[in-house]
Amino acid sequence: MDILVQVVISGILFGGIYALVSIGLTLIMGVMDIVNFAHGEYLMVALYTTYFLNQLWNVDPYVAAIAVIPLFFLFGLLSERVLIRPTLDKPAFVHVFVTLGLSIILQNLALLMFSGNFRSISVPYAQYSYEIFDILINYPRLVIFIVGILVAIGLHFFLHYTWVGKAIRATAQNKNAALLMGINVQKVYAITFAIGVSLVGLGGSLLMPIYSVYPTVGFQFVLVAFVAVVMGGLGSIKGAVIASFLIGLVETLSGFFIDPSVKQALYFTVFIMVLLFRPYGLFGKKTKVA
Amino acid sequence: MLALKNLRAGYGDIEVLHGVNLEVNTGEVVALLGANAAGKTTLINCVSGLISAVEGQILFAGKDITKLPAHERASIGIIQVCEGRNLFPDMTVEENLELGAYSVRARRYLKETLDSVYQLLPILKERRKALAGSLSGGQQQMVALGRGLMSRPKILMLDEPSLGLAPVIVETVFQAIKRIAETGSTILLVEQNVVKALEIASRAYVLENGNIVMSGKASDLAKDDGLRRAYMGI
Ligand SMILES: Nc1ncnc2c1ncn2[C@@H]1O[C@H](COP(=O)(O)OP(=O)(O)OP(=O)(O)O)[C@@H](O)[C@H]1O
Ligand SMILES: [Mg+2]
Repeated sequence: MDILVQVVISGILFGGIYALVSIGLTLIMGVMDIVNFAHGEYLMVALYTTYFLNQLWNVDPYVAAIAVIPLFFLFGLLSERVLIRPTLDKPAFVHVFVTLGLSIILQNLALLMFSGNFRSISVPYAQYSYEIFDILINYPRLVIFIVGILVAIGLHFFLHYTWVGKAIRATAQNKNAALLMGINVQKVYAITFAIGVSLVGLGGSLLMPIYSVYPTVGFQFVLVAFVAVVMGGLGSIKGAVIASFLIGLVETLSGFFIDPSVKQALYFTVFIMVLLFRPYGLFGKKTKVA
Repeated sequence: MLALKNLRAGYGDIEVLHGVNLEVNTGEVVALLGANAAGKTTLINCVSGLISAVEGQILFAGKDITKLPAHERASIGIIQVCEGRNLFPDMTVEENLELGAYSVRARRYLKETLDSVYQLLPILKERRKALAGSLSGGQQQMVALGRGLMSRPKILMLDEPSLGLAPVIVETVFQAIKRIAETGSTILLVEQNVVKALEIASRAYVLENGNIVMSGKASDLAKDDGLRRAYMGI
């Protein structure tokens, strides 16, 4: 019994990383109507950034996170300006090529520069755990969980109670009307993309203490994130977050009770079941909401 | 206030407006009449910047704005209330109204404007917590009008506000527009409901296949036989 609770908790905690990845993905999809296939590679770049900050200058990953957020915000602004904006009014497959292309380029650059080796860092607190009622709560996982929740709540308030946030939601719901309100839609797109990228960057820094980095590390995370986004309902942050924790849970449970190799099959099963009963996802609507 | 000089515009290779001249003076209600596909929406979209002019000039308060991007036109007070409302469906009525005051110029007066809009259109105050997408057509049109007013328009362009509404509701909407007009607003009113439009407007233009074929005082046009036969079924 104890062990079950233990597994459940560590699964849910790890869901925080999926939440950080999928929030950005769902935000970008909901507002800009583009699928960012390079999302996982931003995570990979963040992991390497955190890794090298640690190896070269001994920067703690959590301190690195503070630098990675603004850095990745700029990175997001830059990629939006150079890659996304010129293709915005092009057909959907053009975005697919552009973001998929970026994904492949980043992976190969990483392979070229850092080789395919798995790299990890060792920080003393990676193994720290709090013990509550005989349950061990791993410190880095707890951080991931708390930050994931805080980011989701913070973003909710940002989107509902600030002018920029309202402009983002307005653009998602009706782009032309947003323009007519005097909203600079191009700027909204840039900010949205940059927020998405900085969140996935934050995820990378928080993940580094308990994970390894290698050129294709982004793939499995972005795969989960896509499932979470669709399961939660396109553009729904709440949906993406809840689905992320659900997937984290299903993954660890199946890994523990059945076999780690079936975990993907299992969460895809959950995914299909959700869509059978709610075709627009848990919190999806026919129109998109951010 | 607003002047179109020899305006040509369209979609791709298809020219819809073939050199339109039109003027709206401060404080005036001007009706733009015309049948389906005459180019009325195209004209308004051109003024608000959703589509760009191919030739000709758009002057606003004496300045050439032909090349200004759409969001900047909105922020200097050129406000369009779209055909088909164009609301933010998953936001509340109040959020929709607030977004009307997005531009820096209007945002400063948000509270005051909101109060006056609620006074002018009390139904909005009643429904302010409702999601815009859940309202009836008439109420949505009221939200669209209110949102337009929230922008503190220098010129308010209304694109077929009575479209798709039941006759009773059309009456309420026109009452609302009349009240807005009485506050001294400058309005360009696009309508197919010629009788109603001419009641409110002081001047009118008739657009046919992208050309202005008639213009003058609303009271004169209301008596015009050709117009009566073509648009009022009389
Ligand atoms: N997005 C578009 N792409 C191509 N052609 C268009 C587009 N929108 C309108 N048109 C064409 O331009 C012409 C004028 O259309 P417009 O919408 O301006 O007419 P309207 O006077 O507003 O008509 P209605 O009373 O039906 O609203 C029509 O022939 C229409 O088919
Ligand atoms: Mg029209």
